Amino acid sequence: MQVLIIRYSEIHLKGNNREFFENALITNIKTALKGYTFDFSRSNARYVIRNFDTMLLDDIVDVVTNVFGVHSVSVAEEVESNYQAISQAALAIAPTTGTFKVNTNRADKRFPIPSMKLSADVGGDILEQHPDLKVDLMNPQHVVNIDIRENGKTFVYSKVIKAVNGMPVGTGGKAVAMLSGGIDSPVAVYMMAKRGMTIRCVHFHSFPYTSMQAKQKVLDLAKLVKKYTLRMTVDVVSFTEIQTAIHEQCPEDYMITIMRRFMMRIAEKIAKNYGGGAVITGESLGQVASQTLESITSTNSVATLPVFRPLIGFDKDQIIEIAQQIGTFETSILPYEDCCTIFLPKKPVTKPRLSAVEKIESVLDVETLVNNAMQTIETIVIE
Amino acid sequence: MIQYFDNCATTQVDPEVLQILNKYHTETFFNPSARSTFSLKIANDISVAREKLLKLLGGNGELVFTSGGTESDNLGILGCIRKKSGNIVVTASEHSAVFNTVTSLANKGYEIRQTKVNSDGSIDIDDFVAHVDNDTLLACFMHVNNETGAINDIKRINTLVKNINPNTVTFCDGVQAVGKIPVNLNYLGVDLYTFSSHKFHCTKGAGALYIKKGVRVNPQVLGGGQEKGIRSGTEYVGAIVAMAKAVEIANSLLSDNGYIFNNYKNIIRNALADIPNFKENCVENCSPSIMSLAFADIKGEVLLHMLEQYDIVVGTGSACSSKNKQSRIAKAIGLTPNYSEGVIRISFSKFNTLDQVKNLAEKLAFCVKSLRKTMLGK
Repeated sequence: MQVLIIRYSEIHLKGNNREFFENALITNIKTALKGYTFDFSRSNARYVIRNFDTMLLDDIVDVVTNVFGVHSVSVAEEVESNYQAISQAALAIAPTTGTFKVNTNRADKRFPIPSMKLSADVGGDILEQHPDLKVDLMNPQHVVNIDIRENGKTFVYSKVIKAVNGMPVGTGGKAVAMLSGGIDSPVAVYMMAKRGMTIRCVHFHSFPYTSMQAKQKVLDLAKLVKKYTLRMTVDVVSFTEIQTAIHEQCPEDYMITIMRRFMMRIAEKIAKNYGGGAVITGESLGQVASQTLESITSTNSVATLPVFRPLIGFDKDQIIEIAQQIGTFETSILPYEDCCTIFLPKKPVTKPRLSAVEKIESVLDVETLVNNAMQTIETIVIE
Repeated sequence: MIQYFDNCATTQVDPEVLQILNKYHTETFFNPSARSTFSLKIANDISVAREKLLKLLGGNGELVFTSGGTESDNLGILGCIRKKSGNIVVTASEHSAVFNTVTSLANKGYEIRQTKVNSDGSIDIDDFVAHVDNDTLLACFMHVNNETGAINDIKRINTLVKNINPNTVTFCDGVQAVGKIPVNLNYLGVDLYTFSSHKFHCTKGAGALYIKKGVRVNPQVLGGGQEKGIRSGTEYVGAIVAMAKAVEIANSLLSDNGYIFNNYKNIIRNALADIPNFKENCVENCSPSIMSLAFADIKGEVLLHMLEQYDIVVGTGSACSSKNKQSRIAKAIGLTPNYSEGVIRISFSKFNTLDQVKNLAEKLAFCVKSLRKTMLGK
């Protein structure tokens, strides 16, 4: 029977907390596989998925290898632990050319043939069938693995498919991420989900200055990152009143700095409302005017929670590469304006002094504006 | 209730037309190519509709039914090119369905010649004709500009092109003309003419290519040989019959609507009288159903969304909203950058009422003023 073996990553390092991490990982794998039928079982330091529709194998592998905490998977043939069955399964997956070796792990010491001998014998069977093959024990091109389990069954497999690693979502605390619709923020969400965070997103929308398509694009992005975060809720905040107030009452070059401060205040408020402990942004140092050290200082000063900026040291190229890899890039580059591009000042201030920013901002009724914006929140659960 | 002023984009299906569509979906849904007597009757319905449409549009050539305007454009343009080399003349203001189809031929080695348009979106006829020569395989132009509403003198362009090169195939996109202004295909004289059913209160998913007698069009879709082999695929019978009805209704209202819609335009003009820095992109020789306005210093799309808050739907001058890209047509008609982003298109239909237009005019003036105040005023 074809089965999927799932190995997990660094959570095996966790001592007393291991159960907590494992439970989260198991729940996450099952959540990610919602809609598929399968049997799930725990075995020593690995999980096994059985009884799935083999026509959907590729999809299942794709889903599981994208669950954070999974180290690798192997598609294996599960056979009775007897020589004939093992040899037959090994032959079925053996390479036909190149170099190879057979590797045996005999967890069940009751199995009569010692590991080394079993490897040699099965290797001999394979060579007999494919005389072009060469054995290379040090650096083989192909490995046929035989894993004899205690339950009288044996897994035979060749490929080890690398998965995303990271920590199971749900083990790293809760955070609110600002999702703009650009390239960077979905990547930031991905990076922090990879460290086990449970993430909810906030999007600032400026209808009628930005279109409904721009909002839909953000929801589409949220759906794409849900593949990694497993659950996703987006709080859409109407930012129109704040933006027009800033535009009317503050100097043009400070528009973005002050906007970012409002966004941070609102994101933090939302985080606190649902027990979140951090805010996530996609800022990358020096990328644009609002991402200089001085601008970040201005934005950061209104936050009391930690602000995680996983992309801070990344080049745009590197961010794009991850965006492409996680499948958000194509959507991110759709040309709908986000709220940062309207009222865009011709020359935004790049090194705002915090004291100056605070003074400029003091003409605004910050508390009322923030509270009004909180009233406009539309909470959208991404299915 | 939504007050819909984007009838260039698409229209509401007429109830009478819908009845026909329903009948062919639920009662007489037979495949016209099958062998039963019921099917034969359906095939006959298509013939009757074809004859009726040709009569309504004053043409004695062939009418090939397709899935809509874009397919008709592709079929006509790609299907009429026979020589291995030569040039194609096209105006810069064509709809993407024509423009992109023509420019795709550049990859196959054909020379594409783009010609100028006037500031109202109409074709600069002198410039167009100047680009035609002995090697011109195809000349493409449009009857009514979909963004500004400018009506082109198709008969004149066609005659001038044919005078220079009688072998040049003349193609005319009539998507915004049929059902909106009088169309007589024999009078216009063009070789190919296209239209789309959902622009005149019929369903989406159907259209036609008119082919003048003696002009050859090669099929672009192969299959069961329907439509005399020029366009295979089971005919959308309901839409074909409904389309004939829809054109009949539309044509019967043409002169009344021309008068009514021009009155609507005046109401809007009056409401905007005290607003500075805006222009009506096309006034003379403009389709009565289209009014294109450009406002300086505001974005058309923002204005559109503001009107949406009053349940009023208008169109923008361009579907292009990318940040740095100016609309091809806005550029072609020479709008300066501060105007080119502020284009909205109002397009009327028989379902609009005087009250709706008054409301639109009032809200439009209000939105432009408040938007200007927000964007500029400090």
